[in-house]
Amino acid sequence: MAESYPITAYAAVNALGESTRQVVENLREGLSGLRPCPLPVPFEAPTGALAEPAPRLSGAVGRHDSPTTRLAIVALDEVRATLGRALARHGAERVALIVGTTTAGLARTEEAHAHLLRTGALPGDYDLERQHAFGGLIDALRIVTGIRGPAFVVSTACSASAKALGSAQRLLAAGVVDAVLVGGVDALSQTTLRGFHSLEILSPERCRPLSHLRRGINLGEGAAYLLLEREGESAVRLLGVGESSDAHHMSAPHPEGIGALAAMRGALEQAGVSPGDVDHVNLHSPGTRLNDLSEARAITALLGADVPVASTKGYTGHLLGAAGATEAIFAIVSIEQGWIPQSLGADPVDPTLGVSVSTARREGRFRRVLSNSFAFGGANVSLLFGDAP
Amino acid sequence: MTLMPAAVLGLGLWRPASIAEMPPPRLPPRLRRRSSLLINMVAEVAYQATQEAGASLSSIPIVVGSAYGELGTTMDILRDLAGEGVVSPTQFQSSVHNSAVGYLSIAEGNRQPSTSVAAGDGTLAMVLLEAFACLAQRGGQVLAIVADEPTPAELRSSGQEMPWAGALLLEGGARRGVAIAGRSPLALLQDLRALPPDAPDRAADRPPGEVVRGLVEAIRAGGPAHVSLGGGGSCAWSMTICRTEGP
Repeated sequence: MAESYPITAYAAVNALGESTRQVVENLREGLSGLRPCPLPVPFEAPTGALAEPAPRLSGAVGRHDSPTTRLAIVALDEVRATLGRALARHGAERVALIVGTTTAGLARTEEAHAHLLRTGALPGDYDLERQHAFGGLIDALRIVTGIRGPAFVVSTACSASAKALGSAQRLLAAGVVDAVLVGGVDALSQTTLRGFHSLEILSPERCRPLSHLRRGINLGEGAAYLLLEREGESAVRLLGVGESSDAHHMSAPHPEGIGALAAMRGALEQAGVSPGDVDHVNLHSPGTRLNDLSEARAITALLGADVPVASTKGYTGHLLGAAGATEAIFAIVSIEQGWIPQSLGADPVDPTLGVSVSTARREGRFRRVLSNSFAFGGANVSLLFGDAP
Repeated sequence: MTLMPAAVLGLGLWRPASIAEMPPPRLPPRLRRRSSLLINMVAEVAYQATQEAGASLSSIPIVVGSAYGELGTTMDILRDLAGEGVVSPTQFQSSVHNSAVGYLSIAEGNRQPSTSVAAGDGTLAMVLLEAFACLAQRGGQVLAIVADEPTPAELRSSGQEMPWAGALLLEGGARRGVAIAGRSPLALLQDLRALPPDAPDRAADRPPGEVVRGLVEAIRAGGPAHVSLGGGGSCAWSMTICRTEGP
């Protein structure tokens, strides 16, 4: 059985709010953060854009400015105090930084490339290393946080920041570090909006995961952090992480959900928790029929038809690289506060799924909660959280 | 660092003399039609390393590291955005950083928990760290791969870097003088650590492709050797290569 680790701080910024408290309040009240797309695109696409854009970077990280890194730095505020104490207690070399992202500075490069075509030159302050590359995001966060241990990006598309939690758990288990700041971040970009539109899975209206009225996904933007420590006080702990590959298709899940099943089973086995003890699943379910069928098959095969499940993509849109860390926080909140959110947009539920969709907020005691993230390339991960013994 | 040593069972290296030189076709035709230079380089070194060890690529977890990911495909998409504004669905789904590991897993039916990471100049060190942590957690073998395409002319400020890729097939639980499954490993790798800020050889000025070539050649030579893994600033890393037999 794997060691479990306390989550000593967490923070999320997305379309639901600019503080974790606001995000959780709106989730609890069933209020969607989806709004019209702030980027110019030639089609209808509600998005989970931030109500107010994150501020441009200046000072020590001014040269690292990109929409994604802005989000990553804005969201740090609420974990800074606890992180500071962890750095002092363990030493900056014994704290790692692992961030899940899909696009890194792609939105900045889109602007720079358009500028190049318009004027014949890149913007004078464009910097491929610091603004576009994944390492630039890591460097900016090292500068701002003072973390000096191992630092890297995990980039497995839509499961990136959930996989980052898996990497963090491994570093702690191997004794390499005593704390890991896990992040997830992605900004909206032309590439992702138009790319998902070309794949014909971008919904022209608010997404309706798990409903037979679904028409596809909405994209969102945001950032989230979880601080994992070897020891510390927390109401909820990371109990297990299961990872698998579909080995099936770059952009479609395995129809039988075998990768999803393997990931959930892996998380439970690692934690020594039996399927019957799972109280809730935060689904990956971004709003496509293929994903819902595949994930529902895996759920019913492993956990049965009765465990209450919900998708939170109807609140935030699909946050891509930030989805795993953000939804991990939603799972933690369910355990801490004793409620699971309404699966927004799910009613009327697709009757072919055969799972118990939470179409209204449910109060109760939720002790063991799974959070699923699946991705392009078939990179699946399932996280298991539980209350502290 | 308290990571256990790992045995190197196989190596792969792709370091062309000219930018026009392409890796040999390794993926099945249905995947090759859409595969980028990065995907083809990763496949080439993956097969080199597993074939040297007589191992099957279908059952080994893979850790791919790339500082930039699918840069060439990203550039194609940027040009499409500037033109009609329509992104090709095939290019889009192949533009993610984990395309290479996704293509390899599909080609080989590999359902292992693989991943894809990046850390600028520290990418090689972080790939090895993730690979060692996987071995510590799950035992068995891990295929660690690093690769990068040349940065596109439109976006770069410095000189042209050649494409490059390297792979190490690692097995955990290694001890000196002990053959694994009847095979004698090429060398043992251990003691992955951050270099002190005043350490002399930080490999900081060498291109990452040369750092990987240096590591692969030092392992071929069997050690003992202390090698720098690159990475600038406060995150330069090194590792020790030990002989598998004798003192």
